[in-house]
Amino acid sequence: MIHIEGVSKIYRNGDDLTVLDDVHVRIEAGEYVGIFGPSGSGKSTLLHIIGLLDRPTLGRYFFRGRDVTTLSDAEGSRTRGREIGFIFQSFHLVPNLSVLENVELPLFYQEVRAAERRDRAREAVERVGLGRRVTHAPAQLSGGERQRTAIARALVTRPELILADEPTGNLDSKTGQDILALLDGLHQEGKTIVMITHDVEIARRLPRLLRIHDGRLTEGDRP
Amino acid sequence: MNLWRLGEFAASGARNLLRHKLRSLLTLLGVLFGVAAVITMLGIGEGAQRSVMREISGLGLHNIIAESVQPTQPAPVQTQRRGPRLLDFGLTRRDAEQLRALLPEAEVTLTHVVRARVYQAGRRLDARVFGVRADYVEFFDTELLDGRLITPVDDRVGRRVAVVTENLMHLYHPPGGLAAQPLRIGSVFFDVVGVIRQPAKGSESMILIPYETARRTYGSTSLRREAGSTEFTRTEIGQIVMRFDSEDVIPAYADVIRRNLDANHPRGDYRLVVPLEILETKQRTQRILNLVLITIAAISLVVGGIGIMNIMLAVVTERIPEIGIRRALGATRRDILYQFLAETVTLSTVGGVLGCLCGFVLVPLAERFTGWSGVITPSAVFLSLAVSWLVGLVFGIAPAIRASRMDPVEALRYE
Repeated sequence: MIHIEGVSKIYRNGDDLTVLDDVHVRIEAGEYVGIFGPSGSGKSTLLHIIGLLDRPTLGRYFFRGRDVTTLSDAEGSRTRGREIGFIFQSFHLVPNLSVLENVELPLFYQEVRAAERRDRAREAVERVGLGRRVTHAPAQLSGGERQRTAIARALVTRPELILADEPTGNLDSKTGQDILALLDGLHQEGKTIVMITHDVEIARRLPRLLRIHDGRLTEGDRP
Repeated sequence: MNLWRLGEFAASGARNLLRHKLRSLLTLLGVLFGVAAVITMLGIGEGAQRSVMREISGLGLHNIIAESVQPTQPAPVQTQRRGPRLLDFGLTRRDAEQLRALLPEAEVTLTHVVRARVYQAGRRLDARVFGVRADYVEFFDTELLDGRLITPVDDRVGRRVAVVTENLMHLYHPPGGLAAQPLRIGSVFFDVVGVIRQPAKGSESMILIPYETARRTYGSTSLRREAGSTEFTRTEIGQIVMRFDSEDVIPAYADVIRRNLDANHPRGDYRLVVPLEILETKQRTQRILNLVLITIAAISLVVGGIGIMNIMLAVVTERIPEIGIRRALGATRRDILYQFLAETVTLSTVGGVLGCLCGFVLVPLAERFTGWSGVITPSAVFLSLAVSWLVGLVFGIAPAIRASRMDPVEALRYE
């Protein structure tokens, strides 16, 4: 599903800052992979490149067999919207929109008709157990509920790949467990999940772990 | 990008605007006032244009009118003598004959200006009296409102009948009604037999009597007493009205007539009125005035547009995280561009519609308090709406482009 070949990310402003350094990695469909590393190690940048939000300075990235480093903005955005779901540490819900509207948002950009958007969003919200909260604004929700909304939003397009950037980082451990259980469930359904974490406990549970340090990626042993 | 999609962007834009009602309203006011100013100015300009047109066309755009006027310098011979003096000036029968011979294609009618005071039931009336041929009214843009016109027979036998303009309507009493108070012109009484529409709104009151009646009754000499001195003036013909088939030939003929009359009237005791030339001059000044008014109005619209741009730039900064989120969820740059443009265009269009409605209130108000007349044409409404829409587009594009160019990763990190 993901095939990264010699990818580097270098920020050139005065002194070159190498965030990713010659990264090679393959992730197959259905895998559940953790990226583990200290902050500033480049793990978020790698996740952004995998998610087509950012482009590598060097190297090539094949997503589902297709070289996506040369895609136009529109093609990249469409692919991202259709095939990749994002979950962020700070939830990243649009504050002005209700739970249901937030979940509908990706479908809007796929030009799905309003009625179908509503149905699919409702279904996704039910799925994460927020059926009674659809009209609430994000500010009225607890942290766990916000992250559930974000997960529903990531699921609504039925993507093959889910990218999670420290999804439990802003949650207490009990709520974090619930969220992880949700992700485990998605993995069992066959979704490919790539999750960033710097929590040792979480990293320990994952079937496969990639370690990243100063932009260099290594296939990791369990911590 | 189809219409349905545009509608969705507009709807989501409108929802966003409704979330910040006060801010949207304040931003919208700029466009509202601008459009209201533009449509009001267009309305007043159009009204002025029409009233100029109406005023001049009453004189007959196919006409050229030569009028006798008293020269500014009196004839030198009589000035030294005390007592009554005679002032001889104006157009003559010879002028009329020459013009007829020179311009066989023109229809010509003569008027005899009667310089006498007009009374009815002891009250003096302010009106000009013309002795006219039966065909006189055909030369002007008027119509019979009541009674009858002067007939060739009236003229031939010199009947003492008069036709008045509508603002003197009270002088006219239909046959079989109450006996009319006759009209006294100088020392002679006339029956009012008809009423015509005033050729131009707000023009002077006119009393028309048969040409021969006027000539025989009042002659060509009239007496005027002024501050102790007595003055006789003699004018053979008051006006020579010439009508042509087409407006195109008027300027050329006006030159010919002017040259011809100037040769006989070195004292400048006549005046040539060419309604078409007056109309063109007035329309030219009116157009310039309109342009100035519209420009001022347009400036206020630009100010409104800058207001929109200013707010939208702030809104874009405020929504940077949201832009990042939307990009992560699959929005293209173009989607982001449309999202912000939809908001500004919705804002400015709503402002435009409300501004137009204000125009429909302001123009009648302006009419009432200034005496101008205003006309809001469908094209003015269309123009104002189109301009307001354009303002949204033009002033929204810069903030929208800025939003669409935002790097999604940086936008997501932005706090």
